[in-house]
Amino acid sequence: MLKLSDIIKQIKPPENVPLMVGVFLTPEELYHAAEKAMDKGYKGVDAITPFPIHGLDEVLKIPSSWLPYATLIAGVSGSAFMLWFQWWTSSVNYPLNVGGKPLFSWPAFAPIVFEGGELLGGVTTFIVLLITAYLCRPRALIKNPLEAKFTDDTFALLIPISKENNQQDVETFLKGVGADEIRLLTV
Amino acid sequence: MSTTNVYQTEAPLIQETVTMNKVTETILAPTERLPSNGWWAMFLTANGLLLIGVLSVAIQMWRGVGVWGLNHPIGWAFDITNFVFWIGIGHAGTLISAILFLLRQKWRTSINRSAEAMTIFAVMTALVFPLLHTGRPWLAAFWLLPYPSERLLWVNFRSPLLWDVFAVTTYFTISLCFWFTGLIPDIAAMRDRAKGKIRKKILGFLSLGWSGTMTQWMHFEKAYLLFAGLATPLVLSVHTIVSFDFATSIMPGWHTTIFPPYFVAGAIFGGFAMVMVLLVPMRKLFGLEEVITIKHLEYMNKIMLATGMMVTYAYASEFFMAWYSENQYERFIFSNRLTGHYWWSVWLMILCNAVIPQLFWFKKFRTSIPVMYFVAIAINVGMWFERFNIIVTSLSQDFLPANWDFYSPTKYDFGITIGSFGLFFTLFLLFVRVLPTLSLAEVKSILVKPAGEKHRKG
Repeated sequence: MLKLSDIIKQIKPPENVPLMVGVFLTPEELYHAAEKAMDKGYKGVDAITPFPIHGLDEVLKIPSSWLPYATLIAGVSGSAFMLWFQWWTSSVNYPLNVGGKPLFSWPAFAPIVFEGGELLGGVTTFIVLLITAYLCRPRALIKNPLEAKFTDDTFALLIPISKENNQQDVETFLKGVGADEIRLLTV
Repeated sequence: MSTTNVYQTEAPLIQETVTMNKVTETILAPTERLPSNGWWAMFLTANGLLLIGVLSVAIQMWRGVGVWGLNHPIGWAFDITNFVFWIGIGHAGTLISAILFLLRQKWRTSINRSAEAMTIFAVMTALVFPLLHTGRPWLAAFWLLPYPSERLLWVNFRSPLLWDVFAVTTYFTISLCFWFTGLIPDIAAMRDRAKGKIRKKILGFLSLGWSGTMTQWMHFEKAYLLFAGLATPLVLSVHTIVSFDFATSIMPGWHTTIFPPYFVAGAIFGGFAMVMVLLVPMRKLFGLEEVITIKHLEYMNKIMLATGMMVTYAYASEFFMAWYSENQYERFIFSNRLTGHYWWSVWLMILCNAVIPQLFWFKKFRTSIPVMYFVAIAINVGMWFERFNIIVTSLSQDFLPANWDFYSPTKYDFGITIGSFGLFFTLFLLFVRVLPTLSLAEVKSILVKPAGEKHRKG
């Protein structure tokens, strides 16, 4: 179940802390390293991959997205608004007899009720994606913190350096799980 | 995560020798080099067709909409035919990107990007026609947008034409959001490889700061799934609502309940044929044979065969119902379609949509590029004439013989039709030059061995 704290976390941009980057050449290696990192109890571990690796988000315990809730609420509101609007225009604001049909002839209003929900739901999904995935942030627009191979065929495990995650310790850990390359990324 | 896929019993879609890096190189190469002569030849041809359309429209605006062959009783002909044709074309793209995604059809990953782009360009082309039909659109602006409410009268929400406005604009907006969302990670991959400073800046801006973290991917995948869920009923609803424009009227030949499923099946049928028309030259021109394999094309042919059979069934059902209903007007219209003034266009439709696609029952034809290209073009012709037949035969000879007249298109009608193909192909050719034509991330995720030491270069 989604918690309020997760929603807040997904809106707030991530803090800029130094990251220890372990580079891996295959998704399998990255996946196993991620499992071990979680076993070790590192906090805030993330990964950079050229394509989504199914199940890795669960391993890394990334709280699930609140996007579906936003889409649902927006979709229902879009439909409800269009239903209300069609009722209001045709039975309240300017009641007009069209071909002897009832003023509130709801079956004829169904297509636009559906389209209203689709439109608001879809556009909201897109906008909320920009928020939750930290896209469209002015500073992030400049460049990728890592180089081209990470959107091509190389994988990286990111472990933030903090009080819980000691730098020396993380470095030894990444060496131990067979990282191809280890480097410190200071933002 | 296990490396062996226990469900995979068939041969892999994409050969094992294709690595992740090769996918990136193959797909992004066309966007990173100067266009080839082949591309220029196609682009200039498309521009030529577009120019014919622009000239026809210019003359139409100068002299008025009377230059078209429209007159009483046929107030709708080529323009609405083209509108329905192009909206229908778009449906294949959404079917591939949304419905096949929900059905977990892995083969869609090689064709979904270009098919979605096709959807957007087809809907844009379609929207030109209602606009042109207003005659001089800049004068229409004051009674269409913003809605003039000084009379305090509202639009009639019971009208199918108004449903159409909502359906088509929603369809366009959602398709655009869906397509752009899928593009974000791929534009980021282009940005990371970009050489020039300006190119890097533009791509950096368009990729919205994508870095490919698992957190981003998780939200991205959720959004993608939601878009697929939203687009699935949408694709079925758009042509349903377009068919309501006809089905809710009392015209013989239009007033039938089979129209919504019949139109949707026909839209997917014609749309897949158009995807084929675009993909076959594209994969050849850009050397994408390894990622868009014969197997992908064969699957598309099977869908064309299936939807073609649905369309054939709908034709048969229409004729049967006209006879069975004992309604003299319905009976007249349908016998008139086969033997009347427009008999040739109805038989051409039956030949192209019901007979020629039967070739796809044979694997030999399903996997032969010249045959599938021929069938795809035939289906496009057939689907265009299907809309022409529905619209024109019903309007030309309705209830009152005193009201009858025939329609003959003028050169301006042909001009805007040719121009619409020019516009569509021009937009598509620009797309294949500047954006990745396949989804990098999705193709990489279905490779036999997504990575592995021996497949890496060096």
